[in-house]
Amino acid sequence: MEHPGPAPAGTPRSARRPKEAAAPVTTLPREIVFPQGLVGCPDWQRFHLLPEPFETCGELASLDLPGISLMVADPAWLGINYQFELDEDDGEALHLERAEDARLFCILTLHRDPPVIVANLAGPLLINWPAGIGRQVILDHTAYPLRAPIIAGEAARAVIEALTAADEDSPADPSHAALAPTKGA
Amino acid sequence: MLVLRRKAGEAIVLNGVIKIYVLAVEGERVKLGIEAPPDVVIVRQELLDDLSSENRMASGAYRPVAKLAPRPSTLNNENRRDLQSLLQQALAAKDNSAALPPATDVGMARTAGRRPIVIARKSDIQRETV
Repeated sequence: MEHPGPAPAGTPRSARRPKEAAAPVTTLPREIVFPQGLVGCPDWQRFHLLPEPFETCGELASLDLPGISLMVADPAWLGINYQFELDEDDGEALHLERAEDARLFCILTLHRDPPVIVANLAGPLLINWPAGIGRQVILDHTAYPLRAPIIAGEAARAVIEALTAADEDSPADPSHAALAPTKGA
Repeated sequence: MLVLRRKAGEAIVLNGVIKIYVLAVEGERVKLGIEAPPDVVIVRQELLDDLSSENRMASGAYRPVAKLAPRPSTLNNENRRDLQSLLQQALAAKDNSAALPPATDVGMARTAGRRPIVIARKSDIQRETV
């Protein structure tokens, strides 16, 4: 029963293409809530995951605490063969019904001297992707280390220098001042 | 804090469901055996402490002077998009694999390509029994 002529006035073109909505396109960053916060940081609860759309790595930026921001990456993309058992607690806390709904991220930390980028494999972030609920999983009694080097040497130096340059180019955010180290800053 | 003295081979029971055995005392180390329902999370205190400080370090809230590069929160939107290609380039760099410590040193399995993450439910996995 397709209208043979042009669309009636007032009908947005997008409204006539409902089937293409399968791949949602949104410019708003995805919000991820960690109801219990992170380990040792119970008030780190609401984050934006950037960029949007999110592919393999990016930033988890706190919505409540200025200056709290984590660099995260998909461990599979980092080339890490990651297998672990999911605690029933973790599944329940995330309202996770299917393993396919879960996405896993590692927190990356940059160390300048010597230059190395490490991934935290002992405390990955498990996220119920459709629901936007996250939890930091504690992997005790496993071989996964707290600081697994993923990029080192000149390659790491190049990344850190690029990020440092980006930092120097962007205007200083006064909200970060309270969190920045005072000694030698 | 309740303080109890136990000998090797003795045990205590918590809540009628969690049993903690003192298996052996070897010098300064005490070997414990724990029997608990699968929903009880058992974790070493020092791992919690380590994770907590690692989270803070990664977030930029705690930054030993000159040791850590700036947090990514200071990146602008363009650079955020560049982060992926930046890391991809570094991961693929020839000198990167040479600079990394051997996989055995960091206790992890490193694979050449992408592998799916396998998540199994705890109930599927036999707990180690002492």
